[in-house]
Amino acid sequence: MTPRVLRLLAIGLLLGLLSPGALAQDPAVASAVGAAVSAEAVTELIGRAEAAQRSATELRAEWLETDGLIEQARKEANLGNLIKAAELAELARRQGELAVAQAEREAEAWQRRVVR
Amino acid sequence: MASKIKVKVKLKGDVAEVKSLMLHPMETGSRKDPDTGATIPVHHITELTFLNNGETVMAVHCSTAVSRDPFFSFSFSGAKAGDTLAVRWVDNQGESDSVETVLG
Amino acid sequence: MLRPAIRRFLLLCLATILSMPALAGPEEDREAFRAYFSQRFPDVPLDEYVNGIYALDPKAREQWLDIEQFPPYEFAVEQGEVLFRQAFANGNGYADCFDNGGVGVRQHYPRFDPALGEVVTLELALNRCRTRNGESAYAWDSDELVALSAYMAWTSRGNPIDVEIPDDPRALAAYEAGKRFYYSKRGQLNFACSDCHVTSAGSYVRADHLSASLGHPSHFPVYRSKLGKVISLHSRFYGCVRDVRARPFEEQSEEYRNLEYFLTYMSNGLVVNGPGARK
Repeated sequence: MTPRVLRLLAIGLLLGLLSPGALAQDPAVASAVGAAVSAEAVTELIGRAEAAQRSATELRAEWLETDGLIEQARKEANLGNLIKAAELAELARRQGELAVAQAEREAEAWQRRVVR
Repeated sequence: MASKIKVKVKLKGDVAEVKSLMLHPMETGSRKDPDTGATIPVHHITELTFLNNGETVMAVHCSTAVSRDPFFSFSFSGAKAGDTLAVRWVDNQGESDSVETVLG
Repeated sequence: MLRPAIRRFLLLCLATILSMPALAGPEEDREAFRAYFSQRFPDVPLDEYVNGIYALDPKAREQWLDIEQFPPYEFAVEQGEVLFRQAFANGNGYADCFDNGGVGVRQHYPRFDPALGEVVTLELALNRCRTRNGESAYAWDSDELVALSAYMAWTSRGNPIDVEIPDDPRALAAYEAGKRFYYSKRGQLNFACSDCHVTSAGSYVRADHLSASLGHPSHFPVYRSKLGKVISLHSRFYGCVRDVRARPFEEQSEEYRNLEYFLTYMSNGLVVNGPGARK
């Protein structure tokens, strides 16, 4: 091959490597993202969300959207959108916890509102 | 079968104030059955006529813009006690209904 | 000087007496409720509260009076009467399940059933009448059940609400559970029923003018312009709980029946004026 062709090949290779797609395909980068949100981690998060919602259910204090969020998290996980699934699961868990805190607080707080 | 049109008329001199409530689903054809997902067919009154002693005093062309169980109210002059007011409608599915009331 | 044991006992008695306001009986609650609204809206006579927001908002009242010239709930009342008079397959009828043949009895509901140990609403009584006579129950939000309820409300118009809490700890517990539900915040929006209908009665939430809870159950079932049909009280409860972004309970659930018990008791003395018409 002529030096000119070699030079062109070198430039092309460099440009290709610098493109976003190339970096992501870099095994080192890919494994770092994967570790942050794995399918197992998402399953764990959904489990925690369900546990929080069960506590809310025991107190008959569930919020409206929580069940829907958990279902959506599962759907996204099945589609492979792990980050989205993790976000939804966390949101659902937070809603379940807040609902429980609300019910526990209200166990006493309701008395203060009674018209006397 | 009993009419599903109610009509009330108030006479003030020779002016009759007419109020009418009629039972009709007035389906636009855009709604879907929540259980089956099937579109609910268009079903609405197309022509509504009020006749006093056989003479049309109000003619209404209805479409999908009128909501369920429509209420109509209007006044007309030249009325007197003893007149017969008839209310009639026809819908797009060929159904019809009518009722008569005597003024005064 | 008193012996320590007796002193402790007397202190306990004193503590109980001092904490009594929290255990005030239903009658005290009802009087306090009426006094609160009297003070809040001094120009509104108490018996006007059965007209909901139309007791507080003169412009809305004008429109409502216009609508009442041709009440949109009349069709439901007529349908209800037809259904009420239809005999069951076994020859019995609704009249056999109620006092006075079911005419003019709405004001006594909900009532506490000592045999079942629970609050029985009119809708529940109607469906139980059906199942006891071999008929299938209607869905709680079905047109038929609502029409029957509308007819029974119609025949009771003008009768003062007269809900009883019998001398039975279970009945009082049901009342207290309803009261607790009413005053407890719930849902993502963190509202209690009282937040809108006591504290903020007369104020606006977005474009809606909030009515007072006094007199609330008097005009149910109610025709809602928004829905173009008559709905039951529990449908309204369902909608309200959903609107504060809490998971709604089912119609005729224990929660809603106890809530209805408390709310209707609060309106004792005001007249039944159902079915009503609201936006």
